[in-house]
Amino acid sequence: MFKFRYYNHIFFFIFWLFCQASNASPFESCPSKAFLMQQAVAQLYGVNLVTGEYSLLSSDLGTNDKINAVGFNFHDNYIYGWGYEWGSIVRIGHDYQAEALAIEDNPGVNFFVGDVALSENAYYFYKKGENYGLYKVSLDEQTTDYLKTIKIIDGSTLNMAIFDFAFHPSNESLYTVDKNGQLFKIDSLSGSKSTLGNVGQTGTFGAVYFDVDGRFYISRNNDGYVFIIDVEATNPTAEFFAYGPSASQNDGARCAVAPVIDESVPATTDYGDAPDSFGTTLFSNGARHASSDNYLGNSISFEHTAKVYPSVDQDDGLVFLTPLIAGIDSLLQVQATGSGYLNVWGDWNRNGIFESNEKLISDRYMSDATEVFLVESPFDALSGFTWIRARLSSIPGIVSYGGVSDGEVEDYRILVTNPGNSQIQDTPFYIAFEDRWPEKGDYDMNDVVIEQNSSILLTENFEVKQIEFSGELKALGASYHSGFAIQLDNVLPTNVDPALVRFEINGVLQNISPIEGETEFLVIKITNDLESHITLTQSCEYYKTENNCTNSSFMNFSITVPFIVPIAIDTFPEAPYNPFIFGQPDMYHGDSFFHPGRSLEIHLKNKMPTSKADLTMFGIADDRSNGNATYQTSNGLPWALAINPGSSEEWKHPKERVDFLQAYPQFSEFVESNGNQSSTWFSQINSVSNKTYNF
Amino acid sequence: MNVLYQNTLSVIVILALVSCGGGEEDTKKNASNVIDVTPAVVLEIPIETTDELVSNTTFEFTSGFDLTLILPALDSPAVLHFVNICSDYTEVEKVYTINYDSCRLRTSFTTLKQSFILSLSAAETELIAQVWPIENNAIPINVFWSRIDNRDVWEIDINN
Repeated sequence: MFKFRYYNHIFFFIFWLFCQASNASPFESCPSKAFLMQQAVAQLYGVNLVTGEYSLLSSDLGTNDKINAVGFNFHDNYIYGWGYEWGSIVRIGHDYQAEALAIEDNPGVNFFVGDVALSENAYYFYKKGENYGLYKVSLDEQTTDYLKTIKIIDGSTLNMAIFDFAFHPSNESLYTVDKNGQLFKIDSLSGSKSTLGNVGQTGTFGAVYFDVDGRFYISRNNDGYVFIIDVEATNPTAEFFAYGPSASQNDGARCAVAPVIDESVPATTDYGDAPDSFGTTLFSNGARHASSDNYLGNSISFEHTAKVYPSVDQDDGLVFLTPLIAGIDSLLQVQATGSGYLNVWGDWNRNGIFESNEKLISDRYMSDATEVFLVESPFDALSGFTWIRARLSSIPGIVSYGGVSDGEVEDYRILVTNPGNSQIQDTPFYIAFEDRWPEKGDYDMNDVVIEQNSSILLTENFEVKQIEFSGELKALGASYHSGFAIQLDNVLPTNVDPALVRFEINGVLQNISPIEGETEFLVIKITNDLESHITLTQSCEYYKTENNCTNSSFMNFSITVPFIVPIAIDTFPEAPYNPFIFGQPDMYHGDSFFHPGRSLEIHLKNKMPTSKADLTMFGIADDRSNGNATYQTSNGLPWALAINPGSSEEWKHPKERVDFLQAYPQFSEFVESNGNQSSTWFSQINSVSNKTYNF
Repeated sequence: MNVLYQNTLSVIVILALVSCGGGEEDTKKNASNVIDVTPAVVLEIPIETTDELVSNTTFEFTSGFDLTLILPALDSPAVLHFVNICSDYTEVEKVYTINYDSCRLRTSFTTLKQSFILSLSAAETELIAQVWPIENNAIPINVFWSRIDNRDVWEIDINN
């Protein structure tokens, strides 16, 4: 016994000397990509966990045999693994050449399960069976047990049919999933294990990783599917995450303290832009694609993190030549650059999720083509605007979420109608308010600016069955707090079932009804306080009215109001309807009255106030409302304008404290001619560009 | 007449009085002309702020144009036809690219004549009617309207 140990030490010393001669430098940093070791003669791949995209890093690792049980060492930035050619630990640096390291008390067999700890500079490896078990080897040259093998527990006590394990980034435990889907947590000090539950997937999970946030990724050998597991969950489940590379042999390594998104390099991931309930961001395991030569339309954009509606990408692959008509054929034009399988989903029940059976197109192969497809949405698809997701990929059968190594995802907000219905879309209006009513104010008309879009659905009998409003807060140059609402004059609120009204702000379905109670005519209340929806930047007093005051926050709304009894078009009010702002309870709103609250309303000229307005406010200060001549000064000037520039360009509101005429000089001629001259006074070409706010 | 308007007018009149003459002699010589010139100067005063604006009580500050669109009845259509009436489009070598967000009407042709009133912006002076047969490999028929002579009725004919 003594003799054996003596020779063993001599062998270890010679082996150590040999290894010191070829000392490659480490990786420069802790990489965000995962490493995947595959094949009978080891090949190393880099895997982007976000998309599953992978690329060969080296097919020559300086060995003619396998390398397995790999782990990335955060302490020295080397990959460590088990080299079958040497029957010992190997170290791989940035030249991708394996260096064998002789270890003392080598167990004498090969291992395929291993990782490097984070809390200590040590390599752990495991093999089941009573003659083996869980071992560790110190990789710290400063320790007395450097490269000395220590057995933590024997492999009959710690008995698992596993193919890889990984260290959690913060709790010093090892995690693994066995072939039956059991998730285990292993105490690296004692070797004791606890079973955390079955994750619902079976197979050979040959490569497992953690990211810096403690999310656990497992890659299945036979199909390459990458699943993600929340190991802290009460019932942890493996959720499909990305389509990765498949292989008969697989082992993974990753620097567990690295985020999965590397923002120090240009973005290479394409995301959708639907509301996040559909799965858009990485956090929600949203649809995402690695950069490639196949995509929808003529171009593709990449982001580090997903934009989410109302922030959107410029998508160009799909054109809905007709609205989607429930139960009958519609026309959809799709352009594909490169080749791949097209899949399209629609949220027919408008529950904010693409269910697996909500398909419009399944695995349609396209190759460098623009095609017009006949598509049929289901007969029970709810009418109104909904979301459509299209994905192109060389991989068939993909789902509506998760990562893919190529192609593109595009999301669209699209109208669904019923057969025989017509959609009339009103020209877009910009509703600009001066909020100092009944005082005239500075007349910059930017205290509240709302872009208001509306459309109605007509039955074949020319009755309005539904109205949809959508819009966006464009400016808030006010110090008063105001709410925003739209009255449909002479439409009774009893003709609306509030339960059927759909109301979204920033793409998020709202739980509160926008139908205001106890009003004579239908009032759709979008918000009690516009300012509560935006965040002012530190140096700016107002929202998008001052020089150098851009603002990335949005306030965007969408409301669908179906009518119980369709209303004859001839009696239905016309766009822009009756939008108005109103006061906030218990808030100052000028010196003309004390905390007027909801009873203060500011409408377009000659529009009727709601039944909640306090009509005794008429005639105060500069207001000269009289009978049907409402909300006007003694000069007939209004406190609100409805400007409709068409769809080709946006209307630009005046900057803070710029008199309206300074920004739009032709406005005077328009007014004095009663609208007969300078009827396009509002166009950008007729504006004074340094007097208007430029987005 | 509000105070600002009065003040502005006074300043301009004074400036006109001061600047019209080249010297004392000329001023005297043309003393009566000063009074004659003043009204012309006043007429040329550009209104610079909304304080000076006056509007008719009934004028509602909106601009636009109502177009009556008439779609013909389709005689026993073999395939359904759909039409998009849109205002924002471009043409390159007879290929029309439409911003479908600008469509004012989207509807199907029926066996009955249909009439719609579309409220357009004053900036919307041209429209395209893109008629699609709902069939595979569909090719659209494009028809155009232009706001020439305030033509406020547009009857689309695709039967011929």
